[in-house]
Amino acid sequence: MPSYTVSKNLNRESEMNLLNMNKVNIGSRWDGPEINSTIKKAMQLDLIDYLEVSMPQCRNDIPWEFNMPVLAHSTENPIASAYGLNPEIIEVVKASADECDSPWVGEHLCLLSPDKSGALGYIINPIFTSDFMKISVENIKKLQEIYNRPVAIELGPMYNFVGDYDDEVSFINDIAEQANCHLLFDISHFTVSNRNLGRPDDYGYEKINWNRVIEIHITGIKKSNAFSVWHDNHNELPNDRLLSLLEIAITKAVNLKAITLEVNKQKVMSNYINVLSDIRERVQRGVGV
Amino acid sequence: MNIEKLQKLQLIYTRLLFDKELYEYYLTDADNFVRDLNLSKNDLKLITLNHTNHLAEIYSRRGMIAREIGLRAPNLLKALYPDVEKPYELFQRSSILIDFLKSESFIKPKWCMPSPEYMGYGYENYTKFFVFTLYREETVLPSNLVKPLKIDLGIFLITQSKHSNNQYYQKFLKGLYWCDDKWLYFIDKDAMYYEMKRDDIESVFDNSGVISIDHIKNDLLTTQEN
Repeated sequence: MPSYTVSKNLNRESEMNLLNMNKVNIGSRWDGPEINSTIKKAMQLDLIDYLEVSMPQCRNDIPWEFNMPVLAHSTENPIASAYGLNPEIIEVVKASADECDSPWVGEHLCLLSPDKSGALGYIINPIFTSDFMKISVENIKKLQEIYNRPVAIELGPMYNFVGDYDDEVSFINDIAEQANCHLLFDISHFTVSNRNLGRPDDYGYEKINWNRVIEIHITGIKKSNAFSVWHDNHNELPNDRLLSLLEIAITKAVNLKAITLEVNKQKVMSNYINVLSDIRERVQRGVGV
Repeated sequence: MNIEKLQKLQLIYTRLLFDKELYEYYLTDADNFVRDLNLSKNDLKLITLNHTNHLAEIYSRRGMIAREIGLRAPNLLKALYPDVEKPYELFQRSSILIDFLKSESFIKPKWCMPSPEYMGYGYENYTKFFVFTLYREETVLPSNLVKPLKIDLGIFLITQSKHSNNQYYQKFLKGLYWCDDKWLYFIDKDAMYYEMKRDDIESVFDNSGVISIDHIKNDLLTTQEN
């Protein structure tokens, strides 16, 4: 197994709009123009380095007007599916990633439906067995080859653990190692899963292969009104507990290049700038910049 | 495990997230569940579910789909719940939605319209729902819901004819109509809705470029054949 290095795309003609791979960048998820005024303000205060855009949904609306690097993120490739991937989706995500010159593509380690095409709403967690692990490895290798850039894989929030693996952390570690891909560590998803599965908030932090974590996601979480479970919540900002977990992750993830704040509700935007500023301070403390 | 077995396990695991009846069967009669679905006891162990958490997951997934469909079908919700301000909670528990979620129409991307976003078939649930309720023989739709559903579908098609990049929706650009015994219902290019006496007006539509909404039934058959 070759030693692990963070790959850089060296084929770019211009350095404009490229992510600075020599620091931990802070960015915002962008789902549409609703948050544009906040993005502008964050840019003026030098609190934001990039935007992360979901493909293929927003492929025709990439916000070039900000003149900022754009990271491509995909929710429509069912990497863990035994039914395979849809070539149409791969093609669109690849074209979008090429257009953005995204240094990697974020992908969900998930199922979407029991078919090669289609999605039944929100992503579905994998069945955590060695057979589905091998399927995931092959699908990621295929994507990385077609994209001609690395993939960073992310787990969704869990309500049940299904399979015969010890846990999802071992599963994703094995996949990342065998597919030689990056990890996208979603603090909020991990916290939701840990709480729903009766584990401490920081379960998995001693186990995950931090060397492979290139990006972190963070957003709000909420407790269900109807059941005693937690959900992630893009309508709210991350709370202090999540931000403290983020700080732990920053110190451990030595190859970290990006932290994406995923909030898209205008009503919480007044405090958005404060949270970006808080994250910036935690990065400075965590990596000693 | 071979790939067919893995696909089957994935199919059953996925259906358990949406199909209330199947989940109740899994809970109450595991032996027959395993036998009927040609699984082994070891397979069943792989998809062991925590009951409370699974109910929560079913609930929240169904809620998201209820909202996704409800946003495209406001006239249906109004017909189902005339005086309710926020009908999604009720729609989420409705038999029409529960029946849809356990159907092949929902699980497989076969009975739906092409994605307005150019991503193939089945990446949204509302066209699957329109087709399931209006055009699948397995569905028994109360007659009072046909009109509101067709209005919702019609407005969706007209809107997509203007905004979608997918050529499929272009044929609805000039408007669409449907009839019952006495009445002709028409939605024009600006998504305005009209009701007229059928005898007076049907011939006017013959060469107008306005298309019957039920034309999509033929498209679905063509898709199936291909």
